[in-house]
Amino acid sequence: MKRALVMLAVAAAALVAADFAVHHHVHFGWEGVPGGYGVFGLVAALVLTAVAATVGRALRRDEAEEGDRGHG
Amino acid sequence: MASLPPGILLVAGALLVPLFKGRLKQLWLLALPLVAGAHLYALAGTAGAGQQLEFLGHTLTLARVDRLALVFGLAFHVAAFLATVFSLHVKDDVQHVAGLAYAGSAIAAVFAGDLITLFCAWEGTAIASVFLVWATRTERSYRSAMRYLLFQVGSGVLLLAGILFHLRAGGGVGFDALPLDTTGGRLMFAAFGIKACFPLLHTWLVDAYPNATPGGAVWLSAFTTKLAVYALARGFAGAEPLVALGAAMAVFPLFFALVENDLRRVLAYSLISQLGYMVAAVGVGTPLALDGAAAHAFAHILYKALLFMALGAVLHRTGTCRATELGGLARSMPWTAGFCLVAAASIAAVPGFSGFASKSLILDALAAEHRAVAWHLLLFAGAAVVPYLAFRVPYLAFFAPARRAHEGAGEAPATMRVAMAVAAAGCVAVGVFPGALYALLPGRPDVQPYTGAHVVGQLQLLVFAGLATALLFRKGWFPLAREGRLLDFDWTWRRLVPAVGGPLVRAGARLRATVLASFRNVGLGLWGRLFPHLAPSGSLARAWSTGSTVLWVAVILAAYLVLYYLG
Repeated sequence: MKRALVMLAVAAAALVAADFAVHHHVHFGWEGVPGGYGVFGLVAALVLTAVAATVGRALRRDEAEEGDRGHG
Repeated sequence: MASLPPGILLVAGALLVPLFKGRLKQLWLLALPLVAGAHLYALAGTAGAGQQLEFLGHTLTLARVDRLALVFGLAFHVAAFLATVFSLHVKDDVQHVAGLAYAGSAIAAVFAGDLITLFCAWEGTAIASVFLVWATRTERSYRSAMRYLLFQVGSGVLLLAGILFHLRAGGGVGFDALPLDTTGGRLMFAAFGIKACFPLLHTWLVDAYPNATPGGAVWLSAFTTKLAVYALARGFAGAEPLVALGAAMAVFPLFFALVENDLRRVLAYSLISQLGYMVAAVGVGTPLALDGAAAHAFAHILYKALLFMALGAVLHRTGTCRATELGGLARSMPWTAGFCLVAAASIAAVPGFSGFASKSLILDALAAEHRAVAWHLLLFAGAAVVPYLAFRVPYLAFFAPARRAHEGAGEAPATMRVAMAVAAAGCVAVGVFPGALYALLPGRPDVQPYTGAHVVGQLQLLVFAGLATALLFRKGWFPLAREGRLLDFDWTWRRLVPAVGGPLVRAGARLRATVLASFRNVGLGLWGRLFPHLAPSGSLARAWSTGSTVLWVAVILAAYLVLYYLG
């Protein structure tokens, strides 16, 4: 797991560096900021996980209780 | 051959399937989508409104051939072929007949040039497809199929009502741009919206698809929802509400998908999210956006079918798709695991895979129209696909430590692997040669998705989302397998309405019984008092004298006069 993390971090750093070499056709202000898409992706994954965890806590029920236990 | 209505070969051929046995049946099954594909090729050369007939004073167009219909028609034929190959080993004729008739109906709907033909084909998809859920033959699948049927028939009823209102208001029978400011138009919009899984109308999909047979889910993943996207593109392109609806559809299922235990239900939620891209694009309505919707429908049919095939193979071999009962299958099902990863890369829009070619068009179209909110929400969904699907589904099924031993769970049968290989090849081909797909689109968009900015931006989005996922996983905060069923909006009518409505109905019944009993008692009492007078021997039954009759007539007239003056 640690190796995967390191590899991802290296790839992330390389992609931020690559941002300086490409020209973005900017529609929304932050698109021109180097690493902007990366920050968006990072925050999106964190927000998704945090909200989904809350959804899971609030809405998870026992399957037998819901009468849906069975195939599949 | 081009004179036959589209889809008819599959429907007619499906009905003959039970007549064949053994290898001959398999040959027949394989031949049907291939012959239907040749029919499509013949049709492609006859662009325009062909095959018309008169019906109740209306001109029905059974085959309206244009580029929008052709690209959806091609995707449906490819899906029919893949699903047929995937299910070829299945010995259950119900699934073969239902699957092929379902595909044929969907194809007929796509080429329908008028609303009446569309309605007939629309109902055909509903009736044929429900057998793919029933075919699991469990109490749970039966109940799920009944709920599914309720939604599908409801959509059909709304469509029929909409058509009737539309015709009565002087609208033509042609299936072209439809108004959203008339009753008929709104009813048809709602009918399409049910099948397109608009928010709160989506529950039938996450209910039924995970309960279908392994092959049934592959059939189901391709047709109903993409037919709805086609219908919206044909009838309501540029309808403003679709942008917000699509953006909402792209995002809300993600929060369920990340914590759902049934991995085929995760795919169902993800299907709705991907539909959101298409619906939002249809709402934008520019030529590039509509091309994006059609391209994404094509790409989506391939990778979603592949995902359902991979998990269908897992279900076939292990008997379950619950994350809490899976894990470690990469060792026994390496090919299936590999195909699942290809599908995951495609839905995540990794450059080189199909999703990248199609999502780029939609995001560019939204950006060009400065649809900031919708664009950001779709970008959020694009990043979120990494944790909730691209990582979580393959990991929990194939790479996580096994949570339950599945002795003898070998690799998927050869026919399943062939179907997955073809679908995976399609995902890569579309990703590597996007121009080939773009050339099929209605507007033949002249765009290049492989620019440095596109590729770097998309890779950043995915790699950083992956980094966050890895960090959360390492910290133990990433939601992995956990028992339980998530409540969705259908809880309101499956649980809340009976819970609240049941006591109300029972109280109403008690009140009615009490009131009726009271009336009966009062009535019986009154009857008991009046009967002596009304009986043959009673005072009212005797012959009255003329004088007393005149007196009573005078009393009645006086009473009438008083009432008249009071009024």
